Amino acid sequence: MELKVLKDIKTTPDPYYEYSDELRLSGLPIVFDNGAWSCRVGWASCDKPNLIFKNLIAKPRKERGKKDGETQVGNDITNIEAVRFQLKTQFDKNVVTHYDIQEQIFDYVFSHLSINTEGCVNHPIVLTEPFLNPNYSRSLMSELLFECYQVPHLCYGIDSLFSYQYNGWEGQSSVIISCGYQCTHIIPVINGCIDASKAKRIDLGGFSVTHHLHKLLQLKYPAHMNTITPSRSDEILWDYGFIATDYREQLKKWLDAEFYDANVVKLQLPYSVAAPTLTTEQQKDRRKELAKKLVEMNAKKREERLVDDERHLNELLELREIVQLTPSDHSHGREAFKSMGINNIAALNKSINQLQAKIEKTRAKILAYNNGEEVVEEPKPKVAKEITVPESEAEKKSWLSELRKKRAFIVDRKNARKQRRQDLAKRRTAAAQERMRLISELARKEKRDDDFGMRDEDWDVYKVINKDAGDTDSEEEQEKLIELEEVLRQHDPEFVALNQEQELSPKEANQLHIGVERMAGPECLFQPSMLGSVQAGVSETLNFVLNSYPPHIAQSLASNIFVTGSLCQMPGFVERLNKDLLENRPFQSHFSVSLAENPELDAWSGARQFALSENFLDFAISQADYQEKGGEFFRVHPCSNKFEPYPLVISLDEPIVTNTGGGEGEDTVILM
Amino acid sequence: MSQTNQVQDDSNQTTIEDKPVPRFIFKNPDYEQRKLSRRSTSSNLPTKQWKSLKQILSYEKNIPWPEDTVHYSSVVAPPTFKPSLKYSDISRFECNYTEPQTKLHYYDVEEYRLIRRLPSDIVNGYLSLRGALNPLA
Repeated sequence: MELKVLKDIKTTPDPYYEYSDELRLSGLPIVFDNGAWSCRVGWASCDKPNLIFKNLIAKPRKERGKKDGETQVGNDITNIEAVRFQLKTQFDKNVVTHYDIQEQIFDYVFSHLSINTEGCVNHPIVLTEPFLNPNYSRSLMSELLFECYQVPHLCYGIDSLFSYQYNGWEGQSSVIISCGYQCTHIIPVINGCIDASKAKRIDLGGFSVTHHLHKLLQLKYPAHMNTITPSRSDEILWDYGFIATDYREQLKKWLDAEFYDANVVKLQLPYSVAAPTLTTEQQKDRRKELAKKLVEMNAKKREERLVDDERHLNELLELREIVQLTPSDHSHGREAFKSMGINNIAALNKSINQLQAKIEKTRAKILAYNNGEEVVEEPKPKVAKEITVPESEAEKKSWLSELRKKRAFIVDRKNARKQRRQDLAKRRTAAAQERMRLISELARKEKRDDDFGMRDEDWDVYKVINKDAGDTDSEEEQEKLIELEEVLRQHDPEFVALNQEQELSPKEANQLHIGVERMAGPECLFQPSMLGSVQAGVSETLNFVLNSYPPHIAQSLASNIFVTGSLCQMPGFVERLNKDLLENRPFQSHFSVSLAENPELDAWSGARQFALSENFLDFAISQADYQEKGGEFFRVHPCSNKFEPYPLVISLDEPIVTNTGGGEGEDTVILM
Repeated sequence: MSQTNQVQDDSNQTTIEDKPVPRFIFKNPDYEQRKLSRRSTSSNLPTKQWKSLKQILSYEKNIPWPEDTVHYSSVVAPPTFKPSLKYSDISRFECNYTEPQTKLHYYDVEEYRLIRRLPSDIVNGYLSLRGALNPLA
């Protein structure tokens, strides 16, 4: 299979759209598909969203003394890996919880649509929200849109239902499978109405799949831990990932070398070639050059020293003259002595002699150097130990096997020590427990008939309880090992062959071989146990939902299974569902799975269709509604959640004391 | 009342013009002001803490809903009823063996040898990926 290269696509910043007067006065709805992965926004008049961006912001960390950096939003982030640790999302799972970030996203969107009306966004908004969005989150979202942007109307709907409706499914009984970024929903629809009580949500989605593949690759190639970035894993997933129709069967195929070779994806990671190692000739040249420089430096230093010494000598000679001319106890002479740090005449003479000898030596050296006599001493190559290689074939063979045995012995010892260290590092291992037993025995108090130490062997117990078992990896041993390997490499062709694979060219060393991972990554959707989750997978949950209905309803549901959400575009997704349904549904019963026309954008298109419908405003909340009925209020329509107002029992001003009457008249329950 | 408001608005505009960030004109200045004042009263404290989903859900749970209400937390998928298959951590093949020390699954002898040489961070990586890492063991 040919070598593949990573594309590493960079995002391009979104354009700013024109906001014409016509548009300003039109009151045209803005359609917002606010997904946990990407956000799609557009005017209801356009048939494709104007803006599609990752629903993220990158907020630089506040640093003291530094100005706050610019916050980047959505497609402004051209290189997502550079700001990986500063990324923030407004989502907690599939629900919006951080409204500061949501506000920044709205700012980004409205400014890119070039809205310039003062203090308000004068367009109705259609916004998607998660299935069973908590009232609390909705009220905060309404607060943001009505108070900060003063939108005239607002309408909420569920993304998967918009997609469902857009694909022309209405008034039927069916099951919607919606694969999101954080969650996968399985929602039964009975005669056009969602049956929320039987719906299920699996906490797995596009994120889990990418994460799974990312970790698999990182662990397989620990050396490339940092090169395998989440966005690259995402690219690999979408370019090469697939969902196996029969995972276990397919796994067995991968065991076959031919199948592996035919299906493995070899991916070249970017790498930089290290500077080529110098040839021996070049190395010699370089060394010579260095030596020459050193010699020159030495010569210069020598000359300086010579000048210095001569000056000193002159001083000393002068001093001697002074001493000889003046009487010994003369203060002048003594002072001169003191200033030179010399005590008496003998020391003076001695140092003069020394200095003279030194100067002469230096002079001789300089002379020699100038004549070019000085030769740089080449460091002698290390004398390799004389190895006598036996002449005859048979002898050589036995000699080699002997060497191999020696090497194996050292390697084994090393491994055993390593193993022991590892064992002792953990508490539960047999070795560690044996050690603890010995220690506690030694520390036991009752020592009535204690004859410990009578025999020399008694002391060996301390060797056993020592963590290093009394012997460690010695340098000597390491040297011996290297020496043996060197000899073997020279004389044993087998040894060379065995160890050759370690040396890979940088090109090969930076290749990823993606085999089983191609299907193991996405498989976690169907087998969440791969990620340590106890939840049932997509197929099993689907089956669970179907089985919670009486057979005839389940049958009509199974005949209309609708799949939407970007993740279901993964190759093999529908085939896999078909295969699992065939296994789980009653024998020879009918079922059918259909994919949304455009799983990624149909939710937006459906929302747009809804926004353009005649009675759209009947389903929208107006400013007045918001003021009057509170934040969590919204109008129910075929694509929305069911409105569950907070029960009226609760009052936030004062606790209601209810008497739970009957037998225990004293008991009161306080509801806050 | 309205006059004073206008005056305030005017002064706001002039100050905005001084700064180079007259950005989002479509935002309600009152809302912005409110947000800022909320922040300035407790400048040392972090800005408004948003409830996490977990907090929201536990808050919703404590509300006496009518009996048949369906909530976010009531549609969690059921636990699986199928026994989970064992896959080798190294090669991903279906396997039967577990290395007793690291608790890694392995497929054959070669993988076993590899496991013995794996550094502990890789071992822990594999274990935590499938949620089997128990740091106390």
